Amino acid sequence: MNEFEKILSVENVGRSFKTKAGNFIALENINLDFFEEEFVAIVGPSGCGKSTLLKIINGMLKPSTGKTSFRGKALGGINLECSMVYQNFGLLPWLSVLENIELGLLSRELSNAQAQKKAAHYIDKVGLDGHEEAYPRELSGGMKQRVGFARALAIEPEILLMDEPFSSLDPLTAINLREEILDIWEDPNLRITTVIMITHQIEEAVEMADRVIVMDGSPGHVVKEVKIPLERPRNRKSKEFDHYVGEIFELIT
Amino acid sequence: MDHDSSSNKEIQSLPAAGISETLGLLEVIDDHGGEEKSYSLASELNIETDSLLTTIKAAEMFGFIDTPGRDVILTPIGKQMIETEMNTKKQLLLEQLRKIELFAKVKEALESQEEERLSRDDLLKMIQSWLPNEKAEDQFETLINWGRWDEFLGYSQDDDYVYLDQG
Amino acid sequence: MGPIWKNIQIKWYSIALILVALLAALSQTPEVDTFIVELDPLANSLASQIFYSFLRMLGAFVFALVFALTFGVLAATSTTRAKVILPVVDILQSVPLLGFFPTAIFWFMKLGSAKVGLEMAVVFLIFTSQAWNLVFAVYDGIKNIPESTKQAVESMALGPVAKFRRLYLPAAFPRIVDNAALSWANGWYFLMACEIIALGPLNYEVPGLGSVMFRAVENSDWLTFYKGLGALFAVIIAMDFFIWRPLGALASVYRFDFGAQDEENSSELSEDVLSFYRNHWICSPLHWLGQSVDWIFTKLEDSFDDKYSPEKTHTSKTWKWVDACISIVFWTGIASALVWSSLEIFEVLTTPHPMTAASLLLAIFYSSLRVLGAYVLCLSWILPLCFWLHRRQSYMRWAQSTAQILASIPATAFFPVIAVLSFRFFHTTELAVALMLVTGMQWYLLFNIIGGAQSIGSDLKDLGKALDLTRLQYFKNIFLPAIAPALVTGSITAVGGGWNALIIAEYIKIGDKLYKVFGIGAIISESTFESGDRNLVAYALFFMVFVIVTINKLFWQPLYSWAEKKFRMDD
Repeated sequence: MNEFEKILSVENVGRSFKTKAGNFIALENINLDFFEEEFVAIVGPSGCGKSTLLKIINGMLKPSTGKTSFRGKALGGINLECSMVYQNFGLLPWLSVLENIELGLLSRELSNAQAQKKAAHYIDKVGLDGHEEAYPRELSGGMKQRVGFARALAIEPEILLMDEPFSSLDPLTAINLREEILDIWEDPNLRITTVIMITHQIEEAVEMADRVIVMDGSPGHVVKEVKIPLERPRNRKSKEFDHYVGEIFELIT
Repeated sequence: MDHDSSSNKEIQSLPAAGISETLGLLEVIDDHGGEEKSYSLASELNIETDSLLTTIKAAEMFGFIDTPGRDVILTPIGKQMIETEMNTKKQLLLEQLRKIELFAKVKEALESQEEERLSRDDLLKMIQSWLPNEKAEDQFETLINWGRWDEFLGYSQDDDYVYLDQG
Repeated sequence: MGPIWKNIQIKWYSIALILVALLAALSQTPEVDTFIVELDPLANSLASQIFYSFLRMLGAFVFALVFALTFGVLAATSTTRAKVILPVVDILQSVPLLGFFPTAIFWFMKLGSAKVGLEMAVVFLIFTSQAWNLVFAVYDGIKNIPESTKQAVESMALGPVAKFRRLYLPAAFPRIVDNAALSWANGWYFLMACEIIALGPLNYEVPGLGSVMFRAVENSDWLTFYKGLGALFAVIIAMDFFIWRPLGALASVYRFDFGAQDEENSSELSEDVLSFYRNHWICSPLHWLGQSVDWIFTKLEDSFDDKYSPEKTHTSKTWKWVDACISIVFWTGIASALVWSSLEIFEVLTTPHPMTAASLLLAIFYSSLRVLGAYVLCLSWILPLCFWLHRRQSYMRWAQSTAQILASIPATAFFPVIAVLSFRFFHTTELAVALMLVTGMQWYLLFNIIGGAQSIGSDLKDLGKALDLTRLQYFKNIFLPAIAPALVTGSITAVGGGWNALIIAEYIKIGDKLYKVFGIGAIISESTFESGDRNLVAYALFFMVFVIVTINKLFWQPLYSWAEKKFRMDD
C-alpha cells in the first residue's frame, strides 16, 4: 500500500534497565518500519514501553539489542532529523517564547540572525505571532504546546515525534490543536513528512493516524498494526470509525 | 442572549476563555453541521457546563456564533475561521476584536499616552474602574491573551508595559 | 522495608566517615607560631574592620558557589557519583568548625607568605560554614527539573558547557538564592571563631569584625562591642534589602513550580529594587559583569562543545575518553584518600591515651543531655507561639519577617556576654550553655514549624470548629499531626545546630577567665585551644561525628519517613 520510501526502521530492538531489584526488560523484539508521508499512532496501556520506544527512535536511548536505522544508516546517537513534542510541554520557564524556540536551534550552527529568522517563521506558522516575549507561565496549556510545536518544527526535521501531546489540554483546545497539527503535517512547504504519535486515547489515534501500532507490556512488544484507510477529515460518529476503535480496543484488552 | 456588542453602551467583561478553546468549539459545532444544543455539547465533550458557557460567551463576543435560546449556531464568519489558514484567522480575529468595547477603550487609553504605553498597574486601575464588578487581574490576563493573538496588543513582563502592536 | 542497614547505605556512609576523618587526622603542628596580622594604622576604624570581614565573607561565598556548582552538578548527573558525594557532604556538614582548624592552618600557611596564608586560612574556614547546604541546593534544583523539560533539552544535543549554562545553572539558581542568605548567616555565626584561630600554643588573628568584637568583650569594652553589633546588624539588614530580596524576586521566573511561595515573598518593594538594578544607568557595571560572564560562556561553548557530536553520542570516542578520565581521577582520588585516612585513623585509635573511650562516651552523653534539654526549652516557647499565630494569620507574616531578621544576627556574638552575665548573677555556666544552645537551635525549629502550620488548610481549621473541639483537643488531634513532618525536619536541623553551638558554648575563654562544663564540646575545644593535642582532637571529633551521623540515620530519617507517610496531607 505504501509506495513511499522507508524512512526509519527499528530492527530487533530490545531495551532493559538495571534497577535495584534487578534487570527490567522494557522492550523486547520490536520490529517496525516507518515510511514517508505517513501519520502513525502508537497506543497501549501505560507502562508498556511506548515512551522508551520513542526515545530509542529519537536516538536519545541506545537499545540494548538491535538497532535503529534512519534512511538505511544505523543511528549512532541523537537523530537530528527527528524532533519531539511532550505531554507536559518541556519549556524552560525563564526563557520567553522566542528564546525557548531559539534554544532548540542552538546546536544547528546558525548565526544569531538566522536563528531568529527561523524561529520567527515557525512562530508565525503555529499562530504564536504576538506572543514572542511572553513567558511560559503567562500562557495557557494550548499556547505552551504551540511553543512546543514551533520549537520542534524550527529545526526542520523530517520526522515529528509526539508523546501524548494533547493529554494535558482541555477537550476543546485539544480538538483545535489536533486540527492544526494535521494541517502542519499536510503542508507541502514544511519538511515534516512522517509523524509518530503516542496516545492512550484510541479515538484520537483513529481520528488522526494512517496506521495504529498496538503495543502491550510485560515485556513491551508489538501486538498488531491496524491500518486506517479512511479519508480525512474523519467523522467520529461514522460506523467505520467505530469499527476501527472497536478493533483496537479489543486488541488492548 | 444579547449579541450586538458593537452598540452596547455598557462595557462587557471578558470571559476567561482562550482562543484555542474558542477555535476548538467552532470545530465541534461545525462537526455537528453548524448548529447544536449547548447542553448536549457539554455532555458529549465531557466538559463542565460552566467552562463550556465561558467559551460560548467568548465565541459570541467575537461574532463567531449566535446563541438563540439554548442553541449554538455558527455564523458565516465563524465558518470562515475554521476553513482558512493561520494568517487569515488572525486577520479575522483582529477585525472582530476591534468591535469589542473593552479593546476599543484600551486602544484609546494607550493612544492618549506619550509613547503609547501603559504600565500593568496603571492599566489594571483603568480596567477596575471600567468594570468594577470584575477582578481586574483576570480581565487583564484575557485581554493580553486575546490582544497578543491578533497582534493588537503587546505586553512585556520584563519591562512592565502594555503597548499597541503595530506588527 | 528491609533490614535497617540496607536502607541506610551503611557502606557509603562508613566510607564517607573515614574520608572525612582525614581532616581531623591532618593536624600536624605548623612551624609558625603566634601571629597577629597588624592593622594598617590608617585603617583602624570600625568601618574598615567590617569591610575586611565582608570581603572575606564574599570571597568565601564565591568559592562556596563554585564548589557547590561543581559537586552539585557532578552528583546530580550521575547516581554513582551521588552515592559518594552526598554522604561526604552530609558528614562534612556535621563536622564542627574546629575540626577544620588544623587543616586550614597547616595547608594554607604552607601555601603563601604568613599573612596571605592566614587570610586564606580564614576564608577557608568561612567557606566550610557556607558551602555544604549550597551543594544540596544545587543538587535539589537540578534533580527537580521536570522530566519533560529534561528530555526536551537532552534531545537538543547540546554540549556539556551549553547544557550547564542553559539548563543546570538556571535550574539551580532559585534554590541557591533560597539558601544563600542561610549560608551567609552561618558565615556570620562563625565569623568570630574564624577570625581568631587558636590552636594550642598557636594564636592567629586577623583584623575584622569578629576579632574586634571578641577582644572588646575580653576587655569589657562594651561600647565597642555594641557598636560592632550594631554595624553587623546594619550590614545584615542592608544585604537583605539590597541583595537577597531583589534576588528572590528575580529567581521567581526561574522556578518550575511557580506557586504560593513567590506570592508571599516577592513584595512590590523588592520588585522595584530589582527594576532599579535592571534599568538605571548607575547599575551598568552590573550589566557589564553579566555580559562578560556571557562572553566567557560563549567562548567556552565554542571551543569545548564543538568536539561534542550529537550523531555520535552512542559511539563517540572522544567523549568516552573524557568520561573515562574523569572517572579515573575521581575514583583514584577517593581510593587514595581512603587508604591514607584509614592509616591515620588506625594510628590515632591505637595510640594509648590518658582519656579513655569511656570518659569520652560520658562526655558525649552529658552533651547530648544538654542538647536535649535545650531542644525541650525551644519547643516550650515555639510550639505555643506557632499554635497561637496560626490562628491569627495577620500576625503570622509580621512574625515571620521579624524572626528572619532576628535569626540573621549571629548569636555567637552574644555568647561571651551570656557567659559573663550568667556567671556573675547565677554563679553557673550550665545556664549560659543552655541559653547558647537554644539560640543555635530555635530558628530552625521556628521556621520549619511555621512552614508546617501554614500548610494546614482552612478546611482542617473549620473541622476543628465544626467538631467543637477544645483548644487542647485541636492542638493534640489536628495541629500536632499536621505539622509532624515539618517538626521532624526542623528538629533534625535544630539538633545539628545545637551540636555546632555546643563546641563553642561548652568552652569559652575570655582573657584569663574560663567558662567551661564537662562535655564533648569542651573536650574538643580544650584540646584544640590549650594542648593542641591532635590525637585527642581527632579521637573526640571522630566520636562526635560518628554519633551524630548514626543518630541521624538510625533515628531521625526513619522518623521522618514514618511521619511523612502517616501525616502527609494530600491535596
